[in-house]
Amino acid sequence: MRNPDLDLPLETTAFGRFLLWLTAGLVFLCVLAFAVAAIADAQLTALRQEPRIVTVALPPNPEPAAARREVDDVLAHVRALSGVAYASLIDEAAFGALVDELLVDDTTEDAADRATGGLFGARMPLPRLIDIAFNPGAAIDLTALDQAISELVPGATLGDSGQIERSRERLAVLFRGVAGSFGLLLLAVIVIVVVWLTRAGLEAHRQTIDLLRQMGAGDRYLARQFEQHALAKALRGALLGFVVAISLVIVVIYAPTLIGSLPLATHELAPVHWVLLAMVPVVAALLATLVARLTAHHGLARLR
Amino acid sequence: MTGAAATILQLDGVDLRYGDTPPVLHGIDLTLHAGSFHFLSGPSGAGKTSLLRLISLSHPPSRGTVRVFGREIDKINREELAALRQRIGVVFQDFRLLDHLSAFDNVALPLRIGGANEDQTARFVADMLGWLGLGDRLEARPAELSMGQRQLVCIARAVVAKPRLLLADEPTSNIDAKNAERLMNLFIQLHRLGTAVVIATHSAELLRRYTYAVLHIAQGRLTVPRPPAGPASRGTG
Repeated sequence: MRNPDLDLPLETTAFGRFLLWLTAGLVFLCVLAFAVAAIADAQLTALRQEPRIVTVALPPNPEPAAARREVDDVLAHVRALSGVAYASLIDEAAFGALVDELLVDDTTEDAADRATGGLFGARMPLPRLIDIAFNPGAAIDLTALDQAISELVPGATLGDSGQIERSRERLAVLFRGVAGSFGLLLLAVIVIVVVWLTRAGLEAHRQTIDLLRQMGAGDRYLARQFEQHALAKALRGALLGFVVAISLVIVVIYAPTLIGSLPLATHELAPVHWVLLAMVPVVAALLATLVARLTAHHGLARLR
Repeated sequence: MTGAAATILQLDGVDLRYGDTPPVLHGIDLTLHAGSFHFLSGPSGAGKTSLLRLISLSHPPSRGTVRVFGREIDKINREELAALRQRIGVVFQDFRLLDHLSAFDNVALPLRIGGANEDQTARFVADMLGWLGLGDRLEARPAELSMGQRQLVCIARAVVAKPRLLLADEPTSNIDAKNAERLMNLFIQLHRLGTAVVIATHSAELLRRYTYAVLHIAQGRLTVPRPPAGPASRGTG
């Protein structure tokens, strides 16, 4: 018999007809955008949890005693730095064998040389390599380290093998920023859509608004009609968009693992990511409600 | 009218114009007291509906002063204006029922707007529509009602909240004589309970039969051919 929220026939205009579906579509895209941002964030977190390894190359030194002293000096200096997980000299024989493996053709007579100690390992002077691993998140001043090592051993160089990881980090940061911004942009689009639909609703129901005003309805009463209608429609639309989007996200993250192919997202989302994604429809619905109320209030003030 | 009765409405030197057109009302002076009863007569286009719009606070005056329930409407804010309008019931000539609402919900509007609780609203509305013979049409939409029934719903909506000022524009024009008499009795009861009643009508029969004060409007100017007859402007049926 009664529904006090329906004094204005908002169902019959664009406000009622399109709000649900527009919200559903926009929330769908918004959840996808934030999911991409969340995946990038998870990737970034994982990358930052990996230790960073740099390699010091000391030039060959024909004097075994001097060469050992140089290595000890560098190791002592590096191990005294904060944030260093470990620093160790790469075994020279193993290094020589590795170089041989890469550069010597098995079909040539050089293969015979390897059997006698290695072509490069035995005959050619190779740099001595020291791997330095830093703890995840440690503040590293590679320039200062490079300079210090050069002072200890002239001609020593510092090789940063973490370039690829840092490129991936930068890419993840970029994805997170762009996707997050796109998600926020979509929320802004929801605001614009609700403003437009509310204005259209005010215009379409001008006569009914005048009638209700004649009966003593104040702006608060009338704006509440738009607000409650927006809440009902936007919440339903947002939940619809969310369910479809989150289903897609779950498929993208877990289905490749289940069917044994390469997962598109290499890292699972953290609980906080899921919570944030779950908040998207709620935020969208509340935003739509608030905007409908404010726009209606503003529009009603101009309709006097 | 009695000197002791509270002043409901006071118009002093009021003009009304729509946009840049010439004024449709000129220099209107009018005072309505609680419990007064007036017919408003005049030819079509003379300004009856405009005067009702002015009195119902639908349109501000172009010139002059309008005081309603002791408040000058130029000096009140929007929420106060809305509160004043809640004390005015209006029967529109074209009914202005909301097509998407049932008869019940149409009549319930003023009560809900006024913040009445739902039990009270349901009781008042059902009683009112039952009394008007529409007890079995509570759920009917306006499109499902006859013209006469729509007019009754419109009247029920105007009086259900027991307004202190009731304005009716041709309220008996679409209903039969029997229902017209019942409605007039309803208006008279309200007026005896202290509601100021103004009924715009073309009906010579109404003016002849009920001896209440008559306001006449012609070419936007108001005259009083039949002043209030005595205490509270009592009429005869």
